[in-house]
Amino acid sequence: MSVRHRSANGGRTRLRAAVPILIIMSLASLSGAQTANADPPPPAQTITADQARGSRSAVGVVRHAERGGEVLELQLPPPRISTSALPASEQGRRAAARFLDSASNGAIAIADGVGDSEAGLLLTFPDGSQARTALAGVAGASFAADGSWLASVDAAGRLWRIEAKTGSASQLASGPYTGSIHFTRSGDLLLVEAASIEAPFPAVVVRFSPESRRAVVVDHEEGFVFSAFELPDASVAVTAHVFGGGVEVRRVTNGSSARLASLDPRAIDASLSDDGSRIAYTVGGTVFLHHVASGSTDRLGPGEMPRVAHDGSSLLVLRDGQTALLAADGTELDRFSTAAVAWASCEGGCQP
Amino acid sequence: MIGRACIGLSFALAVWLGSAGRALATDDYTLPFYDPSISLSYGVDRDPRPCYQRDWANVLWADCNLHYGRVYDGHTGMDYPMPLLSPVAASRDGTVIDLFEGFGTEQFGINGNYVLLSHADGRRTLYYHLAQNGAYASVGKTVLAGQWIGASGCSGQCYGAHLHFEMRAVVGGRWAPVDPLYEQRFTTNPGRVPFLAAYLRESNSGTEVIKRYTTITHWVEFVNAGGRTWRNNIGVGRVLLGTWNPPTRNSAFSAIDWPSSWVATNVDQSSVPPGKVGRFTFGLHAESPPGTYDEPFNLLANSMRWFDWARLSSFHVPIMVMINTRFDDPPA
Repeated sequence: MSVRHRSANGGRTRLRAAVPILIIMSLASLSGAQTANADPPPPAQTITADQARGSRSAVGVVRHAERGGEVLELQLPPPRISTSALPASEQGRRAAARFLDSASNGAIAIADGVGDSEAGLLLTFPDGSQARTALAGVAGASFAADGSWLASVDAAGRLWRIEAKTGSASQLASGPYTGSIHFTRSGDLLLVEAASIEAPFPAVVVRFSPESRRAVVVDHEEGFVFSAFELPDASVAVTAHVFGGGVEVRRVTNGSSARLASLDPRAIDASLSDDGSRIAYTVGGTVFLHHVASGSTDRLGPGEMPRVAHDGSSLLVLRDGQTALLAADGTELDRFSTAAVAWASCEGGCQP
Repeated sequence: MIGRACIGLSFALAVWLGSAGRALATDDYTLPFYDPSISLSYGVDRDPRPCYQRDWANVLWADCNLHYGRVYDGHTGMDYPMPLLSPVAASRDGTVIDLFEGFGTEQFGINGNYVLLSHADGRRTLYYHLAQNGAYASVGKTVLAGQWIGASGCSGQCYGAHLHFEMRAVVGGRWAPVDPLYEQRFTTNPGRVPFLAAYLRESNSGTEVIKRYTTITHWVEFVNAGGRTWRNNIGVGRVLLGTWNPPTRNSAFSAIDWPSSWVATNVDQSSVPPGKVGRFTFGLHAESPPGTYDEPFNLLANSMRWFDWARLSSFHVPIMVMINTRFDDPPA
């Protein structure tokens, strides 16, 4: 990836999972050999709300009740890295992508700079206090159901457990994992494991138990996997580029795979409603919404990085560096002036 | 005498031991780009242990730091920094078995764009971080070594535009990355590309003045600066001079000796090895009305791989068509 990876502990990044390709990966996954290694944890610190305001690192949150659920509009401190040399669409994308996840207790996880190999993880709480973890880059993070901790993948593909109160980290597995990270209702993690974090192809979806630190391959179909998350019936929706052409969303149940939807061969950033019935995606700067039951696809107009509401009734998209809330038919319902807007977590039950 | 012989024998033994376990050099792949100024930033880590790195020169680094020009820990390919949208070339004849090109050219994220080729020796090569719509190939098509198959970008987990080139082979029944630099798989040393030419001279570097309805002969010479021998027969290595801007443009100045309306000529010599000069002789026939024109040409290898036109000094022939009083009415 042509860049320095430097952790805060003296510039050393240890235990990059170097074992090539899926051979060892699959065996290790199935055998439970993916135990954590003795990697020094990245340092963490907590700061009070006053200290956050004093250091101009405070994160404000405005909550909006919108069609489809609660929307969080973040007021972020200035980005750590300059994105001015990037195309406008990419500037907006990186700003928005700094939001990682929110917990039911109001905590919010933010990557302190996306595309920065030395970005850290920032947790901000409703009272204004913060916890910071000096991860060597943040590829993804997801809160546990009770919000007491979160799982995070760093830029080297390692999996960490981060205690929400303190930001202290302990390594769960060396991976490498790509950054697609979601909790299942049973408390396991759905991860995408690849041979290489730089060129994560082929990759497989694994179910990782934080308690036993064992991983089991969920979907044996190797490919160019974008993401995986759990559907209401405990099956797993896997979005992947199909070897040889096409992008598919598959439903994997007990190891058997069935196609849920076939998308445009250039589809990226697929986002599913909680029940998997609606899938939004982008092709070349245009947002589409696919209806699984009917198989029809609606063109919703210009935009990028769609994020479907939990109930599928609306979606957030990036437009001109701002965030637009669209109805399922593409009608613009609302517009937020920044890109740092996201759906609130659905933990605790968003479903009617 | 015996001592010198022993020293020589020891040296030979040391060399042999040093190469023991190393794959035989085959030199059957070419570097996946055309610009000879591009050099390796990070190569393959051949040591699977975390924080142990064995680079392409077989040097072991017992740390997890980055070693520019050599390796970084866990790296499965070879990184070649290059500007965005630089040409990316097939490293060997092969078949396109997969590609993805939907991500933005500089879109940072988990995944990026790529082309994956399968080769006759059972290996695969991967070209990663390509630009959006930067896969100039389609699945199932065959490509030739040196063929332009993509445009570089910085999609995926990429910090600074570069090409991640990866070679894979079946090891123990599974696909695994291998190190083509260590195995000496490249046709030429890093920096040499298979088909490259440098402009040398031509019969008339100024404007060719042609009387309308007549034909003149023009020749141009290029130095073969690449790693492959040019040939003038149909088949592998054939190098021809074709119209440019746009490529395969039908020329208004094609003469009767042109093989087609856009191919001016094949290289004159039957073979032009690397470092030697190839001459291209062709006619220019003027049918166009009197006036000034400009005819750009470029070299094409294997009927598919255009040369880097800038290195041909953007070869073009300025032409002035004059009135032919035998056939044309004099100007009013």
